[in-house]
Amino acid sequence: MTSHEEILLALRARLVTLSAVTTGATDLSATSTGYARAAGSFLTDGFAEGMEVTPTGFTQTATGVVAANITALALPITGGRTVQAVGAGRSIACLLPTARAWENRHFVPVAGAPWVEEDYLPGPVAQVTVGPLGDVETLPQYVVKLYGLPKTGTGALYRLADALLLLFPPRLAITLTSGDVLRVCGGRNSAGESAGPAPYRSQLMQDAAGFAVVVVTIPLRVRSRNTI
Amino acid sequence: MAIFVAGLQRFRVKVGNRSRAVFTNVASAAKHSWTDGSPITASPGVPVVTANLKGSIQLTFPGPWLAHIMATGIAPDGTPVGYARDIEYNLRGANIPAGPPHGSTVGGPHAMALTVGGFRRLVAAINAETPR
Repeated sequence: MTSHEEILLALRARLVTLSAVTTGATDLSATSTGYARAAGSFLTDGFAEGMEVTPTGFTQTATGVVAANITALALPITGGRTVQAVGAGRSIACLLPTARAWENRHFVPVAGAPWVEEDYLPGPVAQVTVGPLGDVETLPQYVVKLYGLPKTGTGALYRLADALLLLFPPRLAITLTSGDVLRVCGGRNSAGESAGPAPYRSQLMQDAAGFAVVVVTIPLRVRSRNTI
Repeated sequence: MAIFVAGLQRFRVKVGNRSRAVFTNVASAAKHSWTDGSPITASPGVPVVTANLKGSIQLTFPGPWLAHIMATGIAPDGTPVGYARDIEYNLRGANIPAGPPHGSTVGGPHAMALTVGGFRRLVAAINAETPR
């Protein structure tokens, strides 16, 4: 039978690989106001105000939040960075926020820091093929809530949500350790039938004071063999 | 030939009536799944304390083959229901008043999402139980 814990952990393992925007490995320096580069463009890369960014290859490895007035060659970070001369092979990336409210874990949002929250919905269950040991189909949903900073425009949350939808496209198949295959809904079988809608996102909404939120819903289906 | 045509006409009417019944009952079942819950979709239904949220969700038929199920944001008595969105998405939103709907012993979040996700099963169930 379906293990919801196994499904949740598989979904979470994929979620944490989310990468919305990155410079790729390149020559970067850290300044008292943020990051700088001599070639390429932070704007073209897709960085936006309000994004939490993770630096790699710098002495200061703590994440930072992108401030306003990004230019092609300068990426301002709230509070600035520890100054470091230009170096090769460094990168800056907007990944899944590091503040994560996993189900039934204590979590308190910190003002000014983007965060993410998950809801796992086990969904309805039905035997869908006849006879003994028939297929039992479960329709879970994984709901990911992306919280960002208000009054920073749409860039940060939209790009994170877009990347999340790309990470869970219709028909994506995730093989569980049990051998069951978890599939993202939205694809169609040879008869043109779909088990449910493809992943979708909400509009950007203002939530509790200090945060805007976009909710991404990922409908899923998984079949397992009945035990009798 | 006349008998065949008459039989064909009766069949057409029968199919039309049945299609109408399936459509209407699916719309009603979908609304019920959202507001009251359903074992077919696993929707928990919406929380109910004052019934304002439940009452704000309305089913209408603006066209012969068109059904709208909407959270209007206003209870039947005119009370604004500003927390409908926060309940659906299970947000910690500032719009959720102290007490209700968290005081509810029924219902829960994501009732609409689960209804949408299980819609095909809802259609199949209604189709199966509608007389042929």
